[in-house]
Amino acid sequence: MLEVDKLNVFYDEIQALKEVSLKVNDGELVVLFGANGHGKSTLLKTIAGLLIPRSGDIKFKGRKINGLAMPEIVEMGLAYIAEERHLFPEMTVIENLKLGAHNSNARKKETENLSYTFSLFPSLGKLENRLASTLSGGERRMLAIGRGLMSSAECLLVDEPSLGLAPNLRSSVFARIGDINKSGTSILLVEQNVVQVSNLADRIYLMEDGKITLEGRKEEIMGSEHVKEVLLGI
Amino acid sequence: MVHQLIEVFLCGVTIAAVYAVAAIGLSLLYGVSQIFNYGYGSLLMLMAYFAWLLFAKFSWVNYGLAFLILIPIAFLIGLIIDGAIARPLRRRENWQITTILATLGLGIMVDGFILLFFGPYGKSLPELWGGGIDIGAYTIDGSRLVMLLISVCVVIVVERFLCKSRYGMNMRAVSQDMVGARIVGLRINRVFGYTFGLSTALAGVSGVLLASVYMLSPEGGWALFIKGFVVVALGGVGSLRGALYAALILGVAESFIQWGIGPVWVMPFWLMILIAVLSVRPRGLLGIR
Repeated sequence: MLEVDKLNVFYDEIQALKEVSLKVNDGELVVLFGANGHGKSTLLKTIAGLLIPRSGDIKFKGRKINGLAMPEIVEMGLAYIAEERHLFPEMTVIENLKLGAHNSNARKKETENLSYTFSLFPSLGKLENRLASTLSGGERRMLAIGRGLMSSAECLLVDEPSLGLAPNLRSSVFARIGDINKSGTSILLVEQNVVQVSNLADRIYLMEDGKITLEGRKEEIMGSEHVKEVLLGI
Repeated sequence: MVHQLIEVFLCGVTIAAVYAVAAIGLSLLYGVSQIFNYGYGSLLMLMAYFAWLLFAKFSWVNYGLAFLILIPIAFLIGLIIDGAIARPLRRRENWQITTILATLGLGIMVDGFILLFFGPYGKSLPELWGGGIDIGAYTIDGSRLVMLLISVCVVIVVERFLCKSRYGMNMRAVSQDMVGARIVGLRINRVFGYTFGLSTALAGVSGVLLASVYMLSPEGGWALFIKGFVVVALGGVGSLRGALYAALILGVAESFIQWGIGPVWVMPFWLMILIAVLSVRPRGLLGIR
């Protein structure tokens, strides 16, 4: 579904991603974890089309997408759910969701996607006409995910969905992401809380200092000594 | 005395409505695409001159037809300006500044074009409505009442458009979070394009309305641009409602100053308000930024 091949991304002269290669197969939930500032968000932003790589390729459904404009990438079925959310603050929950369905595929399925989103996040349903700026952190997080879902994407890039959430909300968000994956959507999930999501993941990648240093199935990864050191911050 | 005051007040309200239309065009463009169009006043005047041309050349034209013909033309002009001038500049550094300079240059060019094509002498448009209309003990000039009604309708239409239509929603999205807009797949350049078109169309409407009451002159656009600027500054950029309140306050104040102190004090009054707003509360009454 999604293939990243030897990606190099620079912020001016600082190299943020070094020869990064990664894959998400159809229907998989792949977790990318690692400490802050090591390039995980940069990778997602580059795949989504917000950043342009200096070299390397990104292929989505077999087609090269690096260099494509964001509207085309979204049309192809790849949606990005940013850590910073980027919601529309002066628009209501329902307006934010409807905008999520902007691309032509999603527009036809707007009502369907709305019911699906509200079934996953019932509390959003109760907040339909509230302005996004008046929502709590957890509600905004749900809205951001919901807006991503509205795009009818076949693959979602999810960046730290649990950041800033209370523990009970965190598990609920992860459970929902698991449900979304089970319904057929491939997911590339960036998450520091790898322990909490490891049972959902098919495969896990570790990123350190802009490089992929470890990859494998969850059993291999979670058992590794190196990973334990990373998680303990050694 | 009270009678006179009320008439001055009503007069102020009617002109305020048109200022509101003009200010909304300016504010919308800045809110969505962060372009402050320094050529706005000149474009406004250009559309008024086009109206004059229609009335001069074709005897069968009335205001309804004039609007029908000129609004799409104004929209198209806006689209072209965005595509040909703003869009190439957006790809480069410091585009907020270079775009201001480019629109300023455009405004000067448009003034020159008006001077060349229409000559230096003032022109006037026919009356919007003949005679006065009596409301109780007060008489309002028919033209001004029609001007008020048209402006109010335009404001309501624009507000409905922004709230309900897809394009309106897209415009609001881009103005609130451009990255978010890109994330959902909005084509930003396209949104900028039709925002510029809408902005210029609003300039056109206000230009034609003002021209029905005042005289047209090649450089008259600048005074109107300044007034629009002040209304936007006082109301707060990005706030439609702010522009309405500010236009009302300033339009009525202008009317009183003109009547009570003298027309010569009108522009100084506007400029003093601008200085006051920028010093005391730069984001205006209801501004977000």
